[in-house]
Amino acid sequence: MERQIINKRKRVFSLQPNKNPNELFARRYVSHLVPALKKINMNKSSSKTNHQSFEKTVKHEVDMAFALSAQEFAWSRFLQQKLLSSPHDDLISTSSYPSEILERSSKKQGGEKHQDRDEEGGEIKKRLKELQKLLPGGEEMNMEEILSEIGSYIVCLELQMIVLKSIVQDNTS
Amino acid sequence: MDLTGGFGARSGGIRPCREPIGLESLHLGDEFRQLVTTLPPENAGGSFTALLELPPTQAVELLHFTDSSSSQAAVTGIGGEIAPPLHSFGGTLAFPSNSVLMERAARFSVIATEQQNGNISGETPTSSVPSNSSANLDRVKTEPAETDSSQRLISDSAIENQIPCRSQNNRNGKRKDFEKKGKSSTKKNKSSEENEKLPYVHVRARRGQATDSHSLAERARREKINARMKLLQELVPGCDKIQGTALVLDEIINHVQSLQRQVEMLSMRLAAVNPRIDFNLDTILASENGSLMDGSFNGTPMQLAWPHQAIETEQSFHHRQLPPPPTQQWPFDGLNQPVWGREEDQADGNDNSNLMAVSENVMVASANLHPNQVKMEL
Repeated sequence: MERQIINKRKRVFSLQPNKNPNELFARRYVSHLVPALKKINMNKSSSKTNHQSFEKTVKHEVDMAFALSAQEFAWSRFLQQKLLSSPHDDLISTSSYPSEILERSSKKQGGEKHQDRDEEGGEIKKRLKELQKLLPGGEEMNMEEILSEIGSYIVCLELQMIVLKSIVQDNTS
Repeated sequence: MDLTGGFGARSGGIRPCREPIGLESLHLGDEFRQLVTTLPPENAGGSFTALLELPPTQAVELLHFTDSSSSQAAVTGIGGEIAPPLHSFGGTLAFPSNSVLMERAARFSVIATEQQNGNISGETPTSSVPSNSSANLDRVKTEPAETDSSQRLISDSAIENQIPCRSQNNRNGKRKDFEKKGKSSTKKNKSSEENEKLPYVHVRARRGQATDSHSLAERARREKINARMKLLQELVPGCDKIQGTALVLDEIINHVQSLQRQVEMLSMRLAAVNPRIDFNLDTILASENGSLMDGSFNGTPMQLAWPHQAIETEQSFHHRQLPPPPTQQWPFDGLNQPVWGREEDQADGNDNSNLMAVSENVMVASANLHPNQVKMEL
């Protein structure tokens, strides 16, 4: 009986697929990723079988699917630009995540008056710089934008993990 | 009955403020049970008709995450703060920082001067993606970020009721209004709906504080930043207890870094698995069904999207403990197959069906926390 309840509930989801934003993201993500993976698979047999470049390509597609699935957020656009601009060969596994510190943002933060009052202002600045590095497009954002974008970034990252885990787990074992 | 017994056993582990919610869920669960007993469950069509008999609002509230706070209240029953979920409006995602910000601002806040209006109104809408700000609509009135919007707001009847003397505030210079503000109570209790309609934060100068426009602007900025930090605190697990912005930021940074690393690991595993991935529908379904029944449960990502309080109720269950790295459970069972079967029949075996299968699987699994929470409360 309990199972039937669960299953009834499960079936309900398909009635209104756009209601749940998590489902929306997951569906979009899968719809971007799976064809890309298929294409990679087909191309792989023809091209050189360098595992590392293969991994890079897969990572590139993973990130691309991620960026395309969350178009409403600013960071996704930055991520897309970054992915489109950098050629596959140059992609290191960590390069899709920003690693530079921009002068501009540090100057911006230096001009804030509230820093005088805030004793740990310097500490916070350091952390914000770190965050800027982590978030795609973080260099171009000021503090508030970063804070608002980072929330959606975290949520989408975690959803992405669910999807990837399900794909990987289903195909291993 | 098992369900009621389970509920009785679990209510001990649930904090007292949750019990009203639990009772609500229990009530709804009774309806489900009645439906189940009276209708044949095997047929997929039958289940849909069963659902149709359920009051649609209840079904939607119970089973779907809707952006209305009423649905959240129905499931979690917590007044208080609503964790920042992704809101879906007509098929788009939106991170409702603005609307929740407004609720926070209601606690601090209030009326700004004309200069702050200009500054602040410029900040908020531009800081989010246009579709975001336009999407946060059900509760936030859409006010364009223009200076004359403050005129409209000031002339808003709701505000006028509380501050009758503010009608000409916008275009006047610094005046005794500041003093009036300074004298009044530190926290003004505006209704949350009223503040939700405002796209930017209104700041009131508190007693004994500087009232020049720069300080007010700074204060507005600071409060906005604090509001966002609070949102993030709720988002990142374990941040509620931490005092101090820097430490919270540390936690956030660590969390983001760990998530990114996990994604990289998963993508490497995917690359390893990829050659063997059979994008054929049958094998995907079969493997998914198999693995789904065996895994262990992961609630972490859904904590973000679902109201945070609902997650806490689950901590009474052992398997809901979330160790890093989290492991997952997809609580499917054999009865799931008719669902997939339905999909399969409709699909013509091309890529779309694969996508539907995988996405349905993930979709149901990822969204399944919601009914799971409710189920466990029963």
